[in-house]
Amino acid sequence: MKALLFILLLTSAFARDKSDGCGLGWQVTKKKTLSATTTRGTTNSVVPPTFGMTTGTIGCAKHGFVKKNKQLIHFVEVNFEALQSDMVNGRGETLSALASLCNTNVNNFVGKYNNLKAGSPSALLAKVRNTVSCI
Amino acid sequence: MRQFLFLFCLFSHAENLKKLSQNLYWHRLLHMKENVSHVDGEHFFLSKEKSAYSELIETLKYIKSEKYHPKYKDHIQCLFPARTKWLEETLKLTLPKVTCEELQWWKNQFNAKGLSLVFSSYYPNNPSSFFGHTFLLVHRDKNPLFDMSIDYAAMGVENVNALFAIKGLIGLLPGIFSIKPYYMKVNEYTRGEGRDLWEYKLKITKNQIEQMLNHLWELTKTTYFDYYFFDENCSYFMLELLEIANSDWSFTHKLPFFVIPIDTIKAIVSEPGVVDKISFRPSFSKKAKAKLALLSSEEKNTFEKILSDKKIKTNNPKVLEALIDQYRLKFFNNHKLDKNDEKFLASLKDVRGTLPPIKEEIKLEGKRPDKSHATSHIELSLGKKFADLTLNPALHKITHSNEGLPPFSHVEILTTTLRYKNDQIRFKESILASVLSLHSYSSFDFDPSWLSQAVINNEKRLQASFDVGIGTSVKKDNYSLYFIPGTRLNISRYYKNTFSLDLALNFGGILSLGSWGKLSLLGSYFLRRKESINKAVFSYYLSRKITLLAQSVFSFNTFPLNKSKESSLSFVYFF
Repeated sequence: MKALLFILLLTSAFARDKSDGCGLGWQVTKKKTLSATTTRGTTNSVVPPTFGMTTGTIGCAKHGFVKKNKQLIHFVEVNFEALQSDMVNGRGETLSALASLCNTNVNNFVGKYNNLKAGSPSALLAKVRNTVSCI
Repeated sequence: MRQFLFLFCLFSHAENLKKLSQNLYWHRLLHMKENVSHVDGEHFFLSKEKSAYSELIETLKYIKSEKYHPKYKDHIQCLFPARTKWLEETLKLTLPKVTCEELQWWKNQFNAKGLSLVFSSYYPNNPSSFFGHTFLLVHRDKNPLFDMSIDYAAMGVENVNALFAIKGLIGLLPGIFSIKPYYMKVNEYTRGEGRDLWEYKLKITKNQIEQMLNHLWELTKTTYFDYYFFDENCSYFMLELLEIANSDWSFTHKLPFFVIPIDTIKAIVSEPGVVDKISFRPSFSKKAKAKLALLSSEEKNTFEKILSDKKIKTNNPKVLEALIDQYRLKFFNNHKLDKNDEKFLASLKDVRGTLPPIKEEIKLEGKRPDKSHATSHIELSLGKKFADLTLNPALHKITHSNEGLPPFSHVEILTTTLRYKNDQIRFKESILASVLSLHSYSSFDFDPSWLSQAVINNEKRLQASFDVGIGTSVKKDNYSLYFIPGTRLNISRYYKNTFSLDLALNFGGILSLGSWGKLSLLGSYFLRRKESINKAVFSYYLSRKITLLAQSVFSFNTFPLNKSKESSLSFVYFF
């Protein structure tokens, strides 16, 4: 029980550390309502800091392209939910894309859900780095 | 003599430039329609006059010089690379070498290997995407999720509401282009919003893609466009970009006044030699549904049992995945799961996570959206002693046949009907906007069905009415039933207090009879104030497709409290 608590604290500490991330919520935005449905800031309306080309993140991209050292965390943040589900199933397009980003074989992720279960994108990235050799 | 020759050369040179300024491609680069540019930002123009000729003169002046234009901190060659490239090739110029670091870096990042125009299906719950959306997709080397999407949208409001809609209608919203990795779009559309993506791969060369990127750079570095919901919207600009990539392509002249995304897809598909391949990316909900349908009846029973008693008594990965899918759908619909659902999902995942992956892939077919009927239609109805002419400029009625569009959907705007009766032609009714969004009832994840409508009716007396309702429906593959209670607000000067509020019980059933057509029974019963003219109305429709562009509809309307009824036979022509 104590070990579990410790792990939870550790992962929540990771979650709170935003300095490495792109600040992207993988938990999609507010609930849709009848009169004022949101567009999640990205669907058909965009709220950029400057004109034109942006992924909606700050400091993680330049003219729409995710900076090289942020590519992994950006991908994991956007696809956190899908990655966990693909890891559970042992396959999936998103998982294969992660494997290519890590320059590794997707089979290295199969059957390892117990080691890859995570509560947040940054925690997941840490576990991915522990499980496969990923830059 | 020499002076004369010199003047002559100068004169004919000017004449040539005058002619060049009228070149169609030059006008495309300037976004000119009838000699007026619809670019709305100041910095896009180098000349004060903003004419095709003055822009040509000024652009030539600065691209040929090593000097910078006083207004800009970058060299004109680097700010207007599309203009530069075209002028250099057309006039066979030798231009001073200018290094455009940022531009070059940006183009290299794309590493463009191909281009597609992508259409995302309708999402009735979000008014700004009633009609779907299109964006461009630049294909690169690796996994398609890392391709780059190019998107044009109205800038800036988090809450899409009436104000957004009004601003969009009259051009008060600036539109901007945005570039993102495709995985962001795939996540947002196919999982977050349950929408399909259709990728129309284009026959295009790398040089053509580069010229398009050159022009995109020009637009994003120097300007914006006022976003007009009806005509200068997301899909219109995608076509303009394609027309710049390939000067032989001409799509925008084919478009009707109301440009909806699907029209732009049809424009490229109808032109031979443009579309190379069509790929379908189904929404997560469609995939989940297909997986569920493939379960054996025994597996289905296990699935239902676990869903209700929450005891995971199986090691069957197919059943477990189907269960996990249900919770994922619930999460996507509601953007969160309650504590119990979260816990149960976690335990489902724990069990599934220890089992090996399923080998079989499920191939899904989709109904191609470009095969749906044209969006505007005109309807001529003939009844006993009356005839109606209805013009419906956009989209899609639930009573009509619907190939390529989501079944049992209803979206229409500005449908106007004139009635000829007693030797008079009168304005009968205009449906300003009407949306009916049906979601199948599920005790597991209740997603309400709703309707919303604004109508101006002049049958008895001029009256405006606004309906809103929320309820539930049953949606199966070939039939749908709904019950949506709500209210109707009537505005007419014939009411004592101008306003009158009625309670409305709206209900309906629609049955698809395959090639025989569609049978619909729709009704509204009003609990109304005495003076209100709304009474109960039950309508029966039988619509039948004649060709892709024509349908016949038999309709029978009865007003029981009025003891009157009306039937008519209509011919609907799509254009």
